[in-house]
Amino acid sequence: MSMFQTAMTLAIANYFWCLLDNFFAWDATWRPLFFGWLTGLLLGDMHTGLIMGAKLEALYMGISSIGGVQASDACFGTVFPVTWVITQGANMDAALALAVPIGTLLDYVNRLTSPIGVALLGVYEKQAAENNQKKYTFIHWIYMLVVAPLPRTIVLFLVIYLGVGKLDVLTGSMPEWLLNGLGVSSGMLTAVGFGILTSMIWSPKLGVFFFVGFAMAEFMGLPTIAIAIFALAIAIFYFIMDHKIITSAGTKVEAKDEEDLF
Amino acid sequence: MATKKELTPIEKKNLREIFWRSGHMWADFTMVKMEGNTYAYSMLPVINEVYAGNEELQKEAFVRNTEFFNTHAAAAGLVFGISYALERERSKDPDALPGEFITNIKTSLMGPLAAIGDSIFFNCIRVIAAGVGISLAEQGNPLGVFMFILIYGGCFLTTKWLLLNLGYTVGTDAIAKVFKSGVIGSLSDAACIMGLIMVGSLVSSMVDISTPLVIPMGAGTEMVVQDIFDGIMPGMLKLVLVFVIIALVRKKVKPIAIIFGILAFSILGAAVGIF
Repeated sequence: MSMFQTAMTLAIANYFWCLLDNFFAWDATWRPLFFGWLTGLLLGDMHTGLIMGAKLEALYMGISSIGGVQASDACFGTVFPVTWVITQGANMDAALALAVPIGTLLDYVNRLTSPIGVALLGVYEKQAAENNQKKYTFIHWIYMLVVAPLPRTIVLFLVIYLGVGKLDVLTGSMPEWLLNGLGVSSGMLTAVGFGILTSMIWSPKLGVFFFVGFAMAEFMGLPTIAIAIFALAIAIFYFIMDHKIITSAGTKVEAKDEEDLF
Repeated sequence: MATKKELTPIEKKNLREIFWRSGHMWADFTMVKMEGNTYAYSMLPVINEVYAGNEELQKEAFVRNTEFFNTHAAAAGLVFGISYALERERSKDPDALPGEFITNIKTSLMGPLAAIGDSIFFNCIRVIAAGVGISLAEQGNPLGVFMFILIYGGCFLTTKWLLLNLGYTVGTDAIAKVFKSGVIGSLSDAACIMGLIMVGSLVSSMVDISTPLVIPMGAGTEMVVQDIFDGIMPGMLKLVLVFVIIALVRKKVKPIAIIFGILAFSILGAAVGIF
């Protein structure tokens, strides 16, 4: 595949996964796991895409949701590194290390295009005030199908077409110590996402459960799915107990009535 | 929900319409009105149904629904349901139920719903889904991606649909009662527990840090540093690393700075032989 074809393929894919996100408002597909897999699949190396997607998912787990403000674009931050590795034979550790900084840099595309929506607010309001439902719907769809995804798609195309082949730093001769360092960093970088996430949900009351999870994996060697089942059971048990305590403390009258029945 | 009333075909159709239309929530998101543009778009079938033949009330409701709105996209289902029920009430007697009342209800629900939605979806369900997805994808199994979408996306759509129906059928009083009862607090705690267990296990399986450092002790013996750490507790370095990062995050260090810090640290470390 020539670089033009690669860029074109991924740009078209990008348009569709933008739509997928815009149709469901979930972020189940707006994740490195999905982007990594699909980019790999399209470029003929699904295995690499999946592995990089998994690593980046861990990294982006915390980064993408700090108070609703994203610090790095998960889509750009996944597609470019995966493309580098697959098409240019770049060093995977180096590409992974650069993923988040690239995502941060290209997140400016989102910031630069966000005034477009604000500028169009008047148009929406005008249609609403005149109860012009057909026109309102039309504008809404045009925005969704063209205005919103187009700038991102163009940028993605240009960066891959013009940029990916030029980053010889990633593919060329890197000194041994730098390669080692980047290799080490990829194992440690995953801790960043987990650290941010933990700091968001941590509370002195519940913090011990972090160590419960750690111990299950580290000492007992349980597979993730088993831990997920245990976690669900513990959470349900906690909810029932906690809820019972609240209701028995809050509404004593009702509790008494129940007792009378027995 | 003891008093579950039968929905008419029109009501069922409108709830379905709202469900699909509100999926466009992020499509024309703006920093000024956030999800407001799509809110009005989603309510159009309702506006047409309940205010049929009354152009003035339709205009009023249309404009009112484009107002600022922002909450978690799945939890929003509850607000849509409630606001559908309220628009219907208002159409019966517009003077008794002013439009501002509906806006106030919407606004008062946004905050708490965003908080609970974020904590359950971002900190719990997504972590579980990612845990399962990552562990499969890491081995090159595409099932990991599908499991992630199935668990996370499936929970998202199901929750939204259930909340939408709930909001329409139970009424505002019942909802207010739930918010006051403390159930939300228990639920949020339970979600945190699941999230914490999963993150803990992922730290163990995904983070990779060890040292090849060997200190010669003289007389032919040497001390393997990694063995000492493993002797204290296996995986100790992983925990130390994560808690250093947590401390930095608490000190409001930007994630990007932490990432560059780790890059520099590991390259330097590898150069001098710590890693």
